[in-house]
Amino acid sequence: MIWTVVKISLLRLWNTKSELLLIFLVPILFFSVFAMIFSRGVGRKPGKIRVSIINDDTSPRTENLAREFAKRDELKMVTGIGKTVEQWPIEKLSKRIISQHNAEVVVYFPAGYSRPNTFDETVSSMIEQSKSIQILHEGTNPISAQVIEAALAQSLVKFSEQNLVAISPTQGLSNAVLAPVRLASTSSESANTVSATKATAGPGFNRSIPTLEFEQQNIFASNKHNPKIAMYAAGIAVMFLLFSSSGAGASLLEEKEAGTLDRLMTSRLTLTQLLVGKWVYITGLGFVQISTMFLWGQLVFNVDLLGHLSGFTVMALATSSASASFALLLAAVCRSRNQLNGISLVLVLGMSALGGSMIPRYIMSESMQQLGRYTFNGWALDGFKKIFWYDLSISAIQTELVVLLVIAISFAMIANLLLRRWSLNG
Amino acid sequence: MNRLFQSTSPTILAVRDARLTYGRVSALRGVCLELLAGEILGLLGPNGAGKTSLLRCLAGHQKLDSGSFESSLEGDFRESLGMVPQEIALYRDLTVLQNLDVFARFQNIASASIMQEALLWAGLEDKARTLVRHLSGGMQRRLNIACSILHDPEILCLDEPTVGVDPQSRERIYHMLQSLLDRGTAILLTTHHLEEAEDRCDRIAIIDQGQILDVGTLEELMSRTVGSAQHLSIQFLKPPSRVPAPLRLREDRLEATCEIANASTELPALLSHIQQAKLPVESVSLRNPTLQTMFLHMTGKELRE
Repeated sequence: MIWTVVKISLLRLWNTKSELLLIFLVPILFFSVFAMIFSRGVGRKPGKIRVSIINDDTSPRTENLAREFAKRDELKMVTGIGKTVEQWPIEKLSKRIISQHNAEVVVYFPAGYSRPNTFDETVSSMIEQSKSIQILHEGTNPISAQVIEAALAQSLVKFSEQNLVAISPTQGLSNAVLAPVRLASTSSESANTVSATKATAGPGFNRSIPTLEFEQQNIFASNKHNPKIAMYAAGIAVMFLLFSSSGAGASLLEEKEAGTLDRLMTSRLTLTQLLVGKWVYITGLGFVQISTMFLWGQLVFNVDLLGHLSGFTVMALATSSASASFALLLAAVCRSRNQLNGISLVLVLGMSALGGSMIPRYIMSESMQQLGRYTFNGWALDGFKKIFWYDLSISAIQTELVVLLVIAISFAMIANLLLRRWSLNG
Repeated sequence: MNRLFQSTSPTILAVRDARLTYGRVSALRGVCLELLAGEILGLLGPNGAGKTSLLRCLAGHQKLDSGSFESSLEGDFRESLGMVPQEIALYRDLTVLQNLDVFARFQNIASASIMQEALLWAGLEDKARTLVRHLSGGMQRRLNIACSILHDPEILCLDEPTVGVDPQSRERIYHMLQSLLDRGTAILLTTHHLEEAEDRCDRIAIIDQGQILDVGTLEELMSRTVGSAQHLSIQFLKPPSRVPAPLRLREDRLEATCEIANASTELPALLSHIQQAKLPVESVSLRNPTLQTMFLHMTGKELRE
């Protein structure tokens, strides 16, 4: 008797392929996705930090240092080494580079950073400065500025060693000089000194090395309330938007299963009208859902929704419309509600993991970040980031809007074609 | 029977050599059928005979491989067609009135009076604001039909409209259909209930394995198949050694049966022979031929197989 009960359950499971998929395949799939994310892309190198260098110092030494720095493996230069101009002071220029060239950090060598000194005082001349190297970052990746500091310090040492060896091959710098010496952070939250270490050169260079200063600045986070919460809200909102849209799209299949679709198709309603009606509903529902999420964020977590209302509205509409088309396409591809549930779960969770809804994309490897660009979530979150983090106008999110609208239109058209099989006269 | 229908009524819809296959299965194999104005035509056949396939093609949900539909109605006949699917094709989370409203809007005819009329017609006026999922099965069936006639179709197709309903609800549904017939609507309904076909339909089309075997009134079908012969059955208390012709003993030898064309003359003669042979009779029964008999005769199988 007991075995018969077990047998019934096993047979039912075997006959419900979508359930089998959910039980066995989906966990493996998600384990693989997260394993790839946390192992930095199947054993590949970690993601590079996207950097731009602005050098207003004309000394050859600084130029050499900047070139040395630019060669480092952990960095990806998104622009050539540039200079500021009168209309574009460093902060404004950095914002533009970060928002338009997708850089994370701008390293700025200010004019007069390296005074011309005698050749044998190379090291001290490079670090005995009244001006600091400025590290202007966007702030979403909390470790990028620290990595840049370390990279700069190592570049400086490497560069200095080469010059010192040229003077006296037997008198290199000791590794102790690697230490970053003083850090002045001027992010919105605080300005603090991290360390003040003095290092000494090796034998024959027995003189104290003075402090080296970096100045970190989060150029987007100042004067903002909880910008990170806005990003979390966007991430979660987009993921749940996809879930709710898929559920709403499934109503098409429910209509088919219940027989109401046949009834509708014998009325004066056309298939296109039916799809447009569903699309409008799902888009509207999604827009209200995202708005509710951000409104809650505004009320409880001080997310600045009202300050970004126009950009938010446009992004929320574009995201909702693309999500609606995605849902209709899913419904068109699937043959039953169960099948749709299984497929949508896999797709939505997969896209959310890769696209940054669950885990920030900056911690992923370069290849995984690139993969994230092919997800719906990736484009939507990039748009929300530009609005809430970079404070950019609607014109700055044209690319994201175009991609989302292309998704919306193309997916809806494909769904319409696929669903022709349901229409009058086959 | 409705008063408008006559056997000479014009054809309102004709199915010409309709063929349809699903993969290797032939659902329709050259179906030819005519629906006359104002009649109720029963499409009678076992499960899988092709009844629903034919209706789906009529409604346009399925495209015929070959063949055609012809109608005397102006324009696209499907605009004057009402289709009642076998399943309860309603929005279960909407109220009765809301269902009527949305389906009326899809026919471009939303008006309070039409919906009120439909409510009355279906006997659901006191359930107007009840969610469909809270209605009984019979009420859902009635609403299912009501939602299909909002645009006042000239042809109404019903796929097994009384499946799973109690006799009272079934009677109510046929009362509703009778009122449509009285208005001149032609009705094509599929069923595998013999009694329904016998009692309710003006004409009956027998369909099996995708083919129409015969069409006509019950009397016409009977006369073309089993004729008017009545079925005589005599039960014995003890197995007789032999019985007078044309009676034949069945296997258990306690019953003898035969068909008799004229009961008034043949039955007294037979009973007289039995009395003379002193056979111990338990009971005698005489039955008119049934649709079941005729169906068995035509297809060689029971209708409910």
